[in-house]
Amino acid sequence: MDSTPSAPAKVLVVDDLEEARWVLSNLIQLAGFAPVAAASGAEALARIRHEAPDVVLLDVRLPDMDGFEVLARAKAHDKALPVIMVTAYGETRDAVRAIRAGAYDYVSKPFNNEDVVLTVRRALEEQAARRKAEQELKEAQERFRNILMLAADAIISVDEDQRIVIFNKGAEQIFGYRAEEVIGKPLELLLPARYAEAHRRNIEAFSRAPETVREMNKHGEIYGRRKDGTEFCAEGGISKLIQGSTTTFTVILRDITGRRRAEKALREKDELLTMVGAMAHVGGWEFDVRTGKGTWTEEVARIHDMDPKEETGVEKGLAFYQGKSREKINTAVREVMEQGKPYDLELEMVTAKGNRKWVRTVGQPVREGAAVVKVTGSFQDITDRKRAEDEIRALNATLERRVAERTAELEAANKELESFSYSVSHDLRAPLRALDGYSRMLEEDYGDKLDEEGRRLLGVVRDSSQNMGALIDDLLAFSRLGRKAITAIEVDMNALVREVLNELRPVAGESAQRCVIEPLPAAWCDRALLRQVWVNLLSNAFKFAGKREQPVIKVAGHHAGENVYSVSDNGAGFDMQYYDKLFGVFQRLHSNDEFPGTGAGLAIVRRVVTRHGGRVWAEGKVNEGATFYFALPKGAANG
Amino acid sequence: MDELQQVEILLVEDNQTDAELTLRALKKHNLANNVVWVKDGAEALDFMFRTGAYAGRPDDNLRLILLDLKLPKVDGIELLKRIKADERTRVIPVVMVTSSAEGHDVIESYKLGVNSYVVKPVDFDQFSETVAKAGFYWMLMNKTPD
Repeated sequence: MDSTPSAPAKVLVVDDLEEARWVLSNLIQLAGFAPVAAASGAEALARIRHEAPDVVLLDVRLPDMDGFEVLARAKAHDKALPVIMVTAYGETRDAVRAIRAGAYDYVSKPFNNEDVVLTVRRALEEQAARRKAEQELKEAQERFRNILMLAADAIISVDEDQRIVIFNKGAEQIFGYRAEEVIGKPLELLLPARYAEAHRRNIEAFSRAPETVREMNKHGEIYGRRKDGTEFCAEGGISKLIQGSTTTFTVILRDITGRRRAEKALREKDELLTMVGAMAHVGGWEFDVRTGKGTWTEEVARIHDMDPKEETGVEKGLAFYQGKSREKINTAVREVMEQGKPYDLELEMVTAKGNRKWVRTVGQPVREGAAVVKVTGSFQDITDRKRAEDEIRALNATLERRVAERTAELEAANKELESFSYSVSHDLRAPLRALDGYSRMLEEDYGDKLDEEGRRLLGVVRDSSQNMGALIDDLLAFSRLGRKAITAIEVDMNALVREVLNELRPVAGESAQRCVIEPLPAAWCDRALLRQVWVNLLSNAFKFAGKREQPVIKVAGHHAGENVYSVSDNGAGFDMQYYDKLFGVFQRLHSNDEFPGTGAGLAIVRRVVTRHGGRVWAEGKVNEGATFYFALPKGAANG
Repeated sequence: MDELQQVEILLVEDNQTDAELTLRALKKHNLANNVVWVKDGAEALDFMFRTGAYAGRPDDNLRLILLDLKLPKVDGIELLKRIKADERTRVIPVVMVTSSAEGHDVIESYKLGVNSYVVKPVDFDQFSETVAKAGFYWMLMNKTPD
């Protein structure tokens, strides 16, 4: 356009006199501009419209219309077009009128060449400058508009009637509306209904207030409503722009839902930490090595019986310790500061209120390069634990003493029992031996002098003494069982039963042949003791079934949760109502004449099995037989 | 060798009736001819080592000692120790004749080198048989070459 040197400025010369047009055009051309001529007002306006001159030289007097008329129309067409009025010399009224009507300037006829050219040039220069400024303004406006429109924050302007006039991309994004959907609509559209009224009042108050900018979050959170009806938490400010009589309010909003969520999570985590700290009586602290100033968590302050708001520091913290604890913490703090050596101590302290507490304090150096700049750590009230430990220690000591006492008592009792057993076996049996031996001698030496009754009586003496000897032997065997240590190994019960049967064969006689042994699970037990169990159970079975014409004895076993073994016979059986007496020591359900025995056998069985952690039981019916069961825990043998 | 004059078996037993029963059992099996019975450990020591009341007793051919464990003065274990510690008596078989197999005495006796032990049963027949068996066996084993 005008600024390009290749295209000279276009100057429209309007005059009804041909000579005047020629002179002016010539002059314009000489000055380096491009003249265009018009002979009438109508022509001038047409050329202004079609050829867009940069400046117009307009004669006041024209045949078809008044020069002022042309000026007015030209200005109406292009307000910025500089029009230089050419007036008659001395007609200052015209000149003044022209300027008032918007002319750029005026030149008088007959004109001075130089004056005309200068005026035109000045007009052109000013025009160019103005156009440039306009262009720049336009660009600036464009730029600002783009910035505004593209900003991530929502920028919404409303007029005085609260109708939306600007709605940028950020707003579109945040609210979910496109600008054309909301432009001209009331701002309430973007607010949750419950806030609409308050918002309206706030804006009205703001419009009357002296300040031009106001933060919107001053009185709590503000919320926006999206197109889909959902709400979001926002923060922002509002500004008012007064241009002449119009006021524009611009709200800049930011969706802070995410931030609020993060803040909430952080707050919750912080609360959790505080709560856990309070529950565990644990907290954290740190202090600056250079200044000695420090901070601690609320819980740490509480443990010290201090106000959490009160300032703290390393000196203040150390003052809570005395004596040995003070020495330890002093050393630890010095070493962590000087050598970066971490510490973990359990110390006794006296709180601000004079309470004695045990605490565990752990300190770690924080380094910057080689230097320790900070010490940070944890702090825990372990008074309860210490107290419990003390109690446990005291209890343990008592317990140990009691165990020792009880052990000593038991040992003494065992010794006593042993010596009792010894004297029973030694001293009680001696007179029995004499009874038996001397009756025997009497029988041998004087038998021929006795009649049958005499020999019978002697026989009773001998039987009784022998019976009492057996009783003593069994009693001793039984008491031995209670003391003997159990040496458990995996035992093949099938082999053990066969072994016992072989041993019993001489006394069992025919019954042994008829014994049925089913496969038995291996056991985890003391072989010698279990051997005794089988001996007792099997000899019982042979004894009680021995009088049957067809004795049937069966040994069986299976494993369920435990290993169960049984010995059944079809012998004399027993009455279940005397079941309680079955396993008692020296308890007998049969007379010695019917079935000899001392009554220790089943008692021994029960004692052995019980000592293995097992159990015994039996089923029986008079004259139909009995089954004796014992169960042993699986132990290592069957996993 | 004059068997009538030779003491071959020493019975150490404090219980009179047990001693009589033992002697009878030995006699029954023709082992009682050369038995000397002493009532306590001290007397046994005197007899064995020819001291005290037995000083000047002629040398003999002691071939078996039947020893009761529980004795007055010097008990059976102590006696056994002394027998096994002395060159003159070490080789003589010692059979413990005890009222029971209870207690540590039996184990202790074995450690000290007892040759057998016999539990005195209440039944005389059984007792007599056991004592005779032990006596006979050790007398036989310990027969000095003629």
